[in-house]
Amino acid sequence: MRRTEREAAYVEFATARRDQLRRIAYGMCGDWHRADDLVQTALVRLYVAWPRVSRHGTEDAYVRRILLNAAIDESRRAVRREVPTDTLPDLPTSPGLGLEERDSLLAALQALPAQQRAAVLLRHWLGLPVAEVAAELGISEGTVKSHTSRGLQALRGRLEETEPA
Amino acid sequence: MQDITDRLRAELDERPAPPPAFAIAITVAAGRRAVRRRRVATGGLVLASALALATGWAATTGGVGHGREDGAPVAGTGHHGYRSVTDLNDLVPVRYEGDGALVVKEGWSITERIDDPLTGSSLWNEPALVVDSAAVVARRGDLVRWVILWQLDESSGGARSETEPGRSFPDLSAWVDYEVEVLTTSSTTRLVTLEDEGELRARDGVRVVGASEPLSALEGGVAVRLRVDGDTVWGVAHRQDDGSTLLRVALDYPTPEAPGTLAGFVDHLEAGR
Repeated sequence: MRRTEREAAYVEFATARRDQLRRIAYGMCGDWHRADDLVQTALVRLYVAWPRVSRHGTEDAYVRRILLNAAIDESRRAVRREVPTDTLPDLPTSPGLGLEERDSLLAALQALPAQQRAAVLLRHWLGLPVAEVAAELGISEGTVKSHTSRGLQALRGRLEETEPA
Repeated sequence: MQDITDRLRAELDERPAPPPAFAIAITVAAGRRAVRRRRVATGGLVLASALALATGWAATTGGVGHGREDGAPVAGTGHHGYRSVTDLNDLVPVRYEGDGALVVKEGWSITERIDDPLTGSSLWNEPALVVDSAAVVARRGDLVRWVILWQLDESSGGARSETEPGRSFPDLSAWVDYEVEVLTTSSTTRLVTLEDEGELRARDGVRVVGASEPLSALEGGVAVRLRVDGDTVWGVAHRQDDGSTLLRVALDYPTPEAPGTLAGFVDHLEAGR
């Protein structure tokens, strides 16, 4: 395949997946700016690997794995790029949940260890099978099960603490 | 309480997202630059071979070529979710497959993993970007290997393996920090210290096999031969202005022509000045 054709296929894929990748990254880090950084990093690496991964039809799994690994790695290094500001940003209103409910969910999610958080998101938000989650995170299926079980338990416990009965 | 899955969907699927802070064209441009860096580089396979030759550490290809991807014998699914294959050796029982997944030699299992220790970096003499990397603890019975491996693209990459782990570095993470430093800069501050009096001290677990007098041809640097986790490391130690000691690791020694002796190493260094 010629470069222009390859690039066209990459651009089509990246454009179609960008929104979902940003949401995955946001679920992992809880910050849209950092989510954009993570997605950009993942997409650049996808571009480099595109001839290989597109040949194997593994584009989705590859870019998601890169994205999650980057987010987990960032959590491990405890890199936090906080910018002091005098004003609080306006938060868009969610049609799904109220502001307090949403923030408590996100806060509870962010309090999970990074790999546990990734396992919960892949399994219980994206609905991937256990084997696929294990492959994407490079961990055993047993570990996926224990991560998701503990993660859900921790989420429920934290939400019960923060939300009125 | 609303079920967690429903709440995740309500929050992450339905929440309006701010507009993206980047265009896809930006990733195309950055991707092209990364590919260009890869193309102007000497092949990663050559680097991997050179490292193995020079240091005795093992090297292997990363994603390997098309034939390898298609023809690699697959033995089944190994422990801990890694596919196992039969065409790896016991020195480096792990490699990348063409799809970017790690596979392990049949009978071995991966018990610990650090993702992306080198990803996004360039190796010390290789301007191409490392697009994927991992470090793992691989075990088969009493045999333990620490392996760091990387991919430059789908057909090139490399690996280094520690065959007697735990002697010089307490755990995988500490060893990875050292390896990343050497792989990206060809130097390290983690192995030896040159004292004020010129005495060479090795950190715990590192053995000084031999050391030269300060060499005027190398601005007072001391040529050293060390044992680190069962491997021989050759290098030149320099005391820095801040009091630390930088060891420039000689990844190109011994050569097929030059003997692996301290005198031979000094000759090699002086010939290269």
